[in-house]
Amino acid sequence: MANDQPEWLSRALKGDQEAFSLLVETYQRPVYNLCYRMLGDPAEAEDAAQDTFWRAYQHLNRYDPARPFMTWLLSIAAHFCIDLQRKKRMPQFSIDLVVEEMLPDPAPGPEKTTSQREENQILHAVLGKMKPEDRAVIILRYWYQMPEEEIAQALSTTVSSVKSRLHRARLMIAEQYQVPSAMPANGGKYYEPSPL
Amino acid sequence: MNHHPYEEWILSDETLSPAENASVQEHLAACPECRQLKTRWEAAKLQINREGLAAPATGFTMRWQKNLPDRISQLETQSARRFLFIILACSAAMLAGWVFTWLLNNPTANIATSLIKLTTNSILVFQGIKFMVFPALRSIPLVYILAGISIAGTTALMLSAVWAGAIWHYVFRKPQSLELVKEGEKNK
Repeated sequence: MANDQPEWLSRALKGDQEAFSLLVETYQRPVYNLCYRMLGDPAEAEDAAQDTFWRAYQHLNRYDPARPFMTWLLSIAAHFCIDLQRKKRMPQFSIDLVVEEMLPDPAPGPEKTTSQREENQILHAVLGKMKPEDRAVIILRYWYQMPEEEIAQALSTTVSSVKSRLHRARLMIAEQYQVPSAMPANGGKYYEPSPL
Repeated sequence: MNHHPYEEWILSDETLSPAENASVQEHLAACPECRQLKTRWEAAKLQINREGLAAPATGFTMRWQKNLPDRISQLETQSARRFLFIILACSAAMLAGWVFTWLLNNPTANIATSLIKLTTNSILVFQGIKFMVFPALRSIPLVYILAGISIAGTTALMLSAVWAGAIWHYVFRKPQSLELVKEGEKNK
């Protein structure tokens, strides 16, 4: 499917709405995920993802084919969500606000345990306390495995700024992430140093 | 206890050298705070891997396709309004500039004189036209004159209506191209 992407892009550049819809179909999940992790609310994430594709549609002629299309889309989505949160001065979402219904499940099924849900909520609560820029950096690094250079390009910043934001965000997660008592991170064993 | 540089090393994604690794292990054995930091960070990374990418509700692309004509319509209306605003603003600026220049060249005391001169000249021009046109009109039968006035008046009215209709359609209604897109979608 990805092999057809250049053709869809060239057709979309000529104003073919159907070709752009194919791109929306292909990239909806990564774009939505970024918006959801940034905003913490499925309805807001849906709107933000739709707006991201609309911005991309309007400025498709500015896309540089030398860059991966997904990075370009994620860059638009990240900037959009950061701006949105700055404008709204969004109240940090707390663990109490992140109810189970609000969390879309990538693999829904009965196997999802209470403990996993709990951990999901805790992670979201910690993400919600971060500055939007730090949150964007940590999401792009760990959900999309982007290298620091690509993150810097996507967020229009420097690599050193990405590094310092990453460190600040990691430290915040490590300090505030409460491992649920039902499922300790080390599997309930006494601490055994593991090679880094 | 000094946690530097162990904290950075614990949180870093980069592979540590054997010497650095040994140093971290030694520090971890003695430092409960860094042990806790490492435990929590590893648990958080595990949770991120477990979560994967969240998916939107079913029908995301259909919602995109459904909203696209409205978004295009809104954009075109905004562009048309912006264009109209620019035209009006430029006209107002030019008029203001002309009035300002005229006021600069005509001191306040002379404005009344200028207005009187303008009125007098207008009357004189009208008189001149009257002396030239009216004798000529008298020779034309009244029916032709009335017919001419009717044609000119109707043409002027029609042109004004077309102009006003075009402005209204362009600013407040969806462009025809968009209607065609919608019709095409319906036919599908």
